[in-house]
Amino acid sequence: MAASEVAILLVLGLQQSVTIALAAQGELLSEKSGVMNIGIEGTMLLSAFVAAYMNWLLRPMFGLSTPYVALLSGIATGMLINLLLAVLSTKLYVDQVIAGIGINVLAGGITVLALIHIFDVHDQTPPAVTLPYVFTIPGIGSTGQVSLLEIFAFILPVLTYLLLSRTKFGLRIRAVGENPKAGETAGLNVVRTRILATTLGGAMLGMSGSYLSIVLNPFFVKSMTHGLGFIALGAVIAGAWSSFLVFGFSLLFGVTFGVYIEYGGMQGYTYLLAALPYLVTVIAMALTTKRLRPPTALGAPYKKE
Amino acid sequence: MNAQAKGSTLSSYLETSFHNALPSLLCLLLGLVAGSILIIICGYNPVLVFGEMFSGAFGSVQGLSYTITYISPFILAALAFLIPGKAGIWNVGGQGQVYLGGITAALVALYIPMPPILWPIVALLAGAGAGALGAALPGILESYRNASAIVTTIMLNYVYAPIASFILFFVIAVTFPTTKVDSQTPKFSSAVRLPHIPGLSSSIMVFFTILIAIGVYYFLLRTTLGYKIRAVGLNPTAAEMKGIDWRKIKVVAMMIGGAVAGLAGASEVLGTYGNYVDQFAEGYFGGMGFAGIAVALVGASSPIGAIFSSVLFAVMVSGGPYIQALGIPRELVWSLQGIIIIFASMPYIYKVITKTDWSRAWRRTIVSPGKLEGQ
Repeated sequence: MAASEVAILLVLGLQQSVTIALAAQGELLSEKSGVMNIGIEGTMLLSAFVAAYMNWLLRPMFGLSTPYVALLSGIATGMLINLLLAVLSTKLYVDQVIAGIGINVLAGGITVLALIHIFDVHDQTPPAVTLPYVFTIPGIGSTGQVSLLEIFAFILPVLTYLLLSRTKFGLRIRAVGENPKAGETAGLNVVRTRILATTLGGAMLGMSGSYLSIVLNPFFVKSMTHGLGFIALGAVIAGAWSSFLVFGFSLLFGVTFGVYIEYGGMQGYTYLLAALPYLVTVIAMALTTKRLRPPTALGAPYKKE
Repeated sequence: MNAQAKGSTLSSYLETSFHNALPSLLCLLLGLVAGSILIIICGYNPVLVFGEMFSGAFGSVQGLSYTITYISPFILAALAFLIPGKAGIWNVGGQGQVYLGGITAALVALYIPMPPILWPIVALLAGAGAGALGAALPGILESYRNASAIVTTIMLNYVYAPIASFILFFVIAVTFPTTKVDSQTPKFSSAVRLPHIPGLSSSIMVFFTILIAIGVYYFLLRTTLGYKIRAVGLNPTAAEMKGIDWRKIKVVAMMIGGAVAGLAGASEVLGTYGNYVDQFAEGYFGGMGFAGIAVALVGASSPIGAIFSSVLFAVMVSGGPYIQALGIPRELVWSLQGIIIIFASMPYIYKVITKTDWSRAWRRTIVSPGKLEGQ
């Protein structure tokens, strides 16, 4: 394998990592506050669809800046779904796992339904223009184009780290995720903090979904998240709910996934390669969860007494 | 995640919120209303859609055959979710376990010839065994390594499915070369395939499945192991004080669930398809394993309820092609399923609507304290 091939493979892997890293940081934020979004996969898929649709629809209106508007609409979709989940789980004590499974199933169906209804096709939206790139990694052609989202994905772990451990709001998020009752006693608004943290996390899920449909690809393909959301969920756990470790695992899983995509299909042993990121997650969980301490109140609805 | 706390949340949720037909009928009703709104947004008449779905599913021999064909895997996939659920452990991995069961049954059917009656039985049991082993892993990880089964079972779906495809394309394809081109094995010998119900094109598995569901109902309610499973689900700490090893019981419940999922895969392969088709479990809108979760929730997390709700879901899926003939995408059913699952996650709403705590009424009649003490 030539050096440029290795470089291309690495960049392809990093592109998958960006999807995973953005989603994982978003999931980290909401999990820290005690809300678990199992529907991360569906949330990303819906955001990806909305972003691609807007990118196609608003072209005559916004011209060259359309992809940016599309990105915003994708982010808004992620925020909206997470806001809904947070409100339902804090106000109506919805079971977060079952609601999440429902979101995943619904997203899979409704995006295909929308494809048929809007575009009269079963698989993908018509191609649109992708988000402009900021600079290019030399020597590997168009694969090396780097856009704003990729740069942001590499800065994001620092931001979430600072937010969670250096700000008052971050302290509140951790407090309501660890011990909501104590937080309430200390004068925190548990419901509001959880809703804010989860909605903010939703913005990152939306970014991650949009990255797939307006940066990596110029269109939406049905089921295009193909498990990346679940890998992000695994990265949060394997990374022990710490921003930088979560980012590290996102990179690792992304590169593995990139190798699978590049050499995927029916050649050789790639079927087993497809299982690798998930297997690594399970192994990491098996080896570390005895010592891991997730947010204590994760997944449990909080009821005022 | 504290396994004990988690366990009691899930099973008390299952036990208290849904063991009553009214909340699940309400959840279904809300789901159908939301689905109707979706249908109207798409520009169709919901009455027409549901009517066509229903008459398609029952109106012809072919439609009826399809409906009956779907009932069996839906019941089994539902049981795969609700048996571990009774012990307070989440099995979201039905999808992967179905593949393990299917590919194992296919291997027995292709490579180990046996006398006629024995052969399908061994193939089905092998499939169930593979499913049980596949589910044991997340069970052990949750009980002994404190790794949440919610996440590990989801992850293992993406591990087991490629393993099944790998066996199909790189083991079976060596001796049966057409497999690679067709993405499916040749048809099995008729001695190993499950016979059809006379006059219909659906396999006789549905009768056994209904018997299994009834059996599971009595197993949970009347046997020592069933009692232990429910006790662990309701309160692991209390169960431990009574000398029940909750860790072991959780693994056992998970293995029973996995065995049923494996059986679902094996019976689909031996009965409905008659050969192993790559990714066969995807063709149930969102996947057979996930459909099973919806069936279990709408069926009030009861094995008997699952029989009734599986008919409903079977009608939705088998009626799909008929609504498609009207120019309405059958993916509508997929979305409808997701909407129903979301509505099933809100027991509190039904409490508000009906102004009654159904959970308490149920507890009195089914697991009354006296009965618990007596055993």
